[in-house]
Amino acid sequence: MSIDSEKAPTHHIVHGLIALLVGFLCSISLNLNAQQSEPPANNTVAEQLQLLRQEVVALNRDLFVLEEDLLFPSSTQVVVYLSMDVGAYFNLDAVQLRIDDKVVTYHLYTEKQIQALFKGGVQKLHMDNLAQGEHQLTAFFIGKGPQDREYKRATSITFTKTAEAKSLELSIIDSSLKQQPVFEAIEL
Amino acid sequence: MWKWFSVLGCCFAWVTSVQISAQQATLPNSVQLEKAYQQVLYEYYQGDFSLALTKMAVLEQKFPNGLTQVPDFLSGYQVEPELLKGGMSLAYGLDNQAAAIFLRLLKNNIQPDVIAYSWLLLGKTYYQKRQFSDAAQALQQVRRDSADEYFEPSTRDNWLYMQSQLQGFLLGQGSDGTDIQWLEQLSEDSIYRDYVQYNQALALLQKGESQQAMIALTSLTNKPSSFVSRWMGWAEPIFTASDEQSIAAERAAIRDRANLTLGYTLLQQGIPHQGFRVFEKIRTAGLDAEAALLGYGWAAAKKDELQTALAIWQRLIQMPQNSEYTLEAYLASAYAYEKAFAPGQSLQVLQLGLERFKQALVDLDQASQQVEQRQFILDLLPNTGNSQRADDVENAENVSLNTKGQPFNSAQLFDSVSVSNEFRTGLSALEHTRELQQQLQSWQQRMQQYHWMLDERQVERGKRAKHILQNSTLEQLPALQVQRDTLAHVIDTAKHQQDGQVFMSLQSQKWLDRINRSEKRLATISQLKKQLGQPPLDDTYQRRVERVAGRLVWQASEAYSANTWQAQKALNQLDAEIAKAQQRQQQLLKQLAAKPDFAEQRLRVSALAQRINNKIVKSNSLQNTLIEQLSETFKQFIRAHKQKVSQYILQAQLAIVRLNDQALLKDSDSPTPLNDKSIPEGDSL
Repeated sequence: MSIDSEKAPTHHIVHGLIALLVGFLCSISLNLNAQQSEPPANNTVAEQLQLLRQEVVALNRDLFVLEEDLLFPSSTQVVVYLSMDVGAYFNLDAVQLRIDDKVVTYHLYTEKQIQALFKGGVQKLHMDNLAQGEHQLTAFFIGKGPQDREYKRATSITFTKTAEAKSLELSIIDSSLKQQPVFEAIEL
Repeated sequence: MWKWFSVLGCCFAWVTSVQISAQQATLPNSVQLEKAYQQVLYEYYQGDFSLALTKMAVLEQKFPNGLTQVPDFLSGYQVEPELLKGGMSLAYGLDNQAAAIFLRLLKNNIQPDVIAYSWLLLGKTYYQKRQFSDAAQALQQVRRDSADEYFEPSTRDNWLYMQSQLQGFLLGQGSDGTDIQWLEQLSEDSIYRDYVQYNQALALLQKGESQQAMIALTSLTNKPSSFVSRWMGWAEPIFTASDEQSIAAERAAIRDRANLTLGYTLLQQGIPHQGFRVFEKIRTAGLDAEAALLGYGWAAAKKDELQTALAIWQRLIQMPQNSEYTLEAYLASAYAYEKAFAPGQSLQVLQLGLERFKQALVDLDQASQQVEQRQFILDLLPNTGNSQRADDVENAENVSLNTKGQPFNSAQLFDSVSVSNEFRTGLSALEHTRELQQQLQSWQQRMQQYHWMLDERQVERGKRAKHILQNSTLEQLPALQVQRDTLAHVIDTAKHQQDGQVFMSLQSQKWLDRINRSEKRLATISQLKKQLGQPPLDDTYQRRVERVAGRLVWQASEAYSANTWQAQKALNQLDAEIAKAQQRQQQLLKQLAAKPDFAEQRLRVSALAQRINNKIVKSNSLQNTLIEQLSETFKQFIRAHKQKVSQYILQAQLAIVRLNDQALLKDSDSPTPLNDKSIPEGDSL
């Protein structure tokens, strides 16, 4: 066997190393190169999924409306919303809601929910069926107040339920004048 | 003249009253619209795009042009509602709907911030749809000053990153200059910097500029980890999906990958000493650990530290998983033994390797059979609710796939499948389809309950109507009205006759009755005395009775005005109560007169139930397709790996033949046989 052929194993393995390196580099080139060369294989499935999602959103819409119509007809419907201001003086942990002295909702807030409220979102805190006539709603707000102290405040409103749907809003507002949070309950 | 003035005055009053009533009618609508939109924001900022889109759809159904009427305090300084809808559609995977919205906004809107965001999101939509040329063109439309002014840093970084990824498509721009620009423009602590820097290094390597590539990689690997701050812009839920912990893990993984590339590049450049140090930095718990061990061994071998190299490769060989690196370690070890003038050991390692390679093929065949099963794919889905974070899902996949690959000694192969784009997209689609199906099934059950509920309501309504009829509830009010009218008549008569006795208190009336009775008794006594011829009663009795009677009448006359006023007030209160009762009764009558809409509601429920069933069928079919696709992805990876293993077998067999050949040559040169480990016949080529 020639000298060249005796060196063959070394060459072979080194070639293997280079092949490995090239293969490795090709395999690790981040997403895009692979994406650019690959045709969108599951395009039809993606389109189908998109269509299904769209249809389910429309279906969910109709179902939500039906559910509201069936479960909460306007003659008895009462909705309570909760909104929040900047929250410099109050960090909300939980809200307890009582209607006619009966606890109807107790909600604990996550950080995400608090952020969503700060950014202008409004939570539909409670939806109920009430008989026509006078009712009292009381909300207890539990959280951290100024100087990070435990803070519990309540606000109350007496309202008259008529044949029309009734909407109420609980608001937590920062009062820079009082350096305190202000809790309000209003009829919308 | 006065007549005309009075007519004009009446008209003015009427117009004013109409305006006020119109305002009163639109006011509740605007409040409802505001609340409906704020509910969308509430879901959107929590990242629940499905629910946010559903609530947006409800809003649009209730208020057909509602999105254009959202109050300024919600849309003006935050986000244009239509743009928000497009962003949510994009984040939820409704790419076509999103693209249509952005194109419409670009056509109709002139606000610079809306235009900048529309181009950015349109570019991202095309990017997600893999229409890279369109994406590049769209992203290029955003001016740098607009991006600086309107985008949050994280959003701006994403815009720059996408452009850097798409640079090949950006018209009229070379790759060199733009590479540097991207890096300069990105935020200091952005995770995208690491990706861009790594991609730049790869591009340099592909162009053969190894020195510059090594500098870039070294700079990336030596970069200190920095805290990633969070921003609070409206577009944050669309662009940010990772928390700080997962970003730190992502950074560590990129650093491993950069070290690995740098290590191999250093080896290629003939600088094994540095390469050796670089490989040392790679985490043993990372995805690149086995590749790093193989390279680590090569670096040691290149430094002529064959013992070290063999020890490292031995560690790889001992690993039960049949990854390409563990299998390649056999070939590398054989090379090292041969280089160390130990052909016998080299042959032995090769033969062990051959056995392992063949076992690997058997394992891969079993794995291939396994991945064909539907349940295998379904088991990969995390058993989580909607709120599960994307990165948690990804971790769950990795753990699950790694565990599933272990029985077939293919954990590393399964890991590579799990990180592949195709698999992740498919699994995510499957997961989403399953979630949709669960949602639909839950609605299906509720529909059944609604049918029962409507039945119950119909029965209850019948019972109530019967009860009202039996109790003659509706007939009680006219009787009360008659009683009231009688009372009113009495009061009127008393007022007319100025008769205060009618308004006397009950006690006074009793006293008056007693006086009347006393007068009658006195008259009877006088008559009886007269008949018996007895002397008449003293008239003091009569006078006393008359005095008391006069006093009572006088008191009644004195209290006449006050009593009349009290009686009139009581009558008015009674009138108000009767009016209220009438109103309620009218409402009740109206409700009773309204035709029950149970049939219509039943129809609605049935139609929706039918739609749910159709969607379930569609989702089932989609799931089957996705499962087949995922199985096929697995099989592709397995086939590729089998091909590699076959190559290793071929290489090992060739090396064995060559070593046997050498041994034979030596045998023929020397009188004593050296090697008795010749290749078995079955393994010859």
